Amino acid sequence: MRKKHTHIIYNLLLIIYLTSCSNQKESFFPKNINEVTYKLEGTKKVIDTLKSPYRLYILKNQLFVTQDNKVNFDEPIIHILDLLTLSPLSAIGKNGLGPNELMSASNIDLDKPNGNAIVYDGRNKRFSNFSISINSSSKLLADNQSTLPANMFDAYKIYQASDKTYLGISTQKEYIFNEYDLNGNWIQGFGRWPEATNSKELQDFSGMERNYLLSSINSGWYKKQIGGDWYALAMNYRDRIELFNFKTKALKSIKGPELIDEIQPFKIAGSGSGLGGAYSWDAKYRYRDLAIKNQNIYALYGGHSQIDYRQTGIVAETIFVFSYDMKLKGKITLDRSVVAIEVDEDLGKIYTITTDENPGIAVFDLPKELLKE
Amino acid sequence: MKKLKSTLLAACFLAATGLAFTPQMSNAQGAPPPDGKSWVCCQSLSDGCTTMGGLYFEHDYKYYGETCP
Repeated sequence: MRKKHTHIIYNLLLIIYLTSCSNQKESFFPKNINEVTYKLEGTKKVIDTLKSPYRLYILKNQLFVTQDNKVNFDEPIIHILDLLTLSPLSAIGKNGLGPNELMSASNIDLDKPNGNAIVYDGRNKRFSNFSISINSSSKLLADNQSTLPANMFDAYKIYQASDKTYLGISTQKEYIFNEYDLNGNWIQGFGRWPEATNSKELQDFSGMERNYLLSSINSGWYKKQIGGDWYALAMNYRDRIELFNFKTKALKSIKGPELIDEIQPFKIAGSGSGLGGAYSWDAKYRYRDLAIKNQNIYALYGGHSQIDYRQTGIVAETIFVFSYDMKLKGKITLDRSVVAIEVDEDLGKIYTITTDENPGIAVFDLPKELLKE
Repeated sequence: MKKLKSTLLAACFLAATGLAFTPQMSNAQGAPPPDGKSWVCCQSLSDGCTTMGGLYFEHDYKYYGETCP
């Protein structure tokens, strides 16, 4: 009799477990997911001057294409293309360590009051300002630069949030989004790092060490709504996007499709200043890039590891489209693998960087249904 | 002799510590990480590799092992 009861309890627990798993997926994917799934075919253009394209940004109706650190020192860091024809218009960012030069373009934002492009160089930890006019000729050196204060050493992915503050990701703070004044003093943080329910090793750490490990576990792509107030961290190894509105101080989360509370195998090594945590080499990349636009949030999603990429050249072929209530509005399947996205909702175009042998810009038509309320 | 041993030990420790921060570049195929206690930054398509002190290698991947795969 007692054995029978035990069996019933086990079966009930199993049903509850299975139901909870399917609910999690259902809450991410709407019931009509098949109706809002779109397969898109793109048109690729190879631009000779782009040697190693990395990220895309639209500012003042022009497509800014950054290059990564694999380009030669005589190559400009950023190329500016025409949005309609993808013809090169100009280039900015002289590659180098000297005054008004860049080592990398980690992110680009629009300084709304004067219409300048602000480029953050994560290797030199400095901001460069470029005055940009339509069809302007190439001006490689920045108009002016400002270097981050030395006491902001822990912040490594940063935007200028206002004329008085920076907003960045830190290696040492317990918050995701950290606000600093222009002298580098930490003011406040927003949104605590999500925990990892299946990481037992993490329990042995506290304080700054724990914050550092959590920032490694939750690392990802820090993007801003260009010229706007929304900031987001799209996690590279978890199915989470954390969003923060600097103006309203609202925090929002996109959770799913799968790895929300748990993480992929993550090992902790070293100690003291040599402490580090690393995912295994075959960990699957999850969210790969993000475009925060007026109507929707567009997230490039992978599901492939670095090993997969080396063997197949595939990084990501899916774009999830979210509304501002953080619900999935549509799923886009691309006809090729891409590594970066940018969206122009007025033109109805998705711009991407392909991952084939000869990378180029592939453009897709954004389904009109996704631009409806 | 004791002094020599201490110097050698210190040198080994410094070398091991240095290894943990050395960015590596490799195109070799992935091999399973050794069961060591160190990590390195390896070039990849990842979102970057950081140290607790704020050093940041933008396109790297933190790899659990002594050399990049």
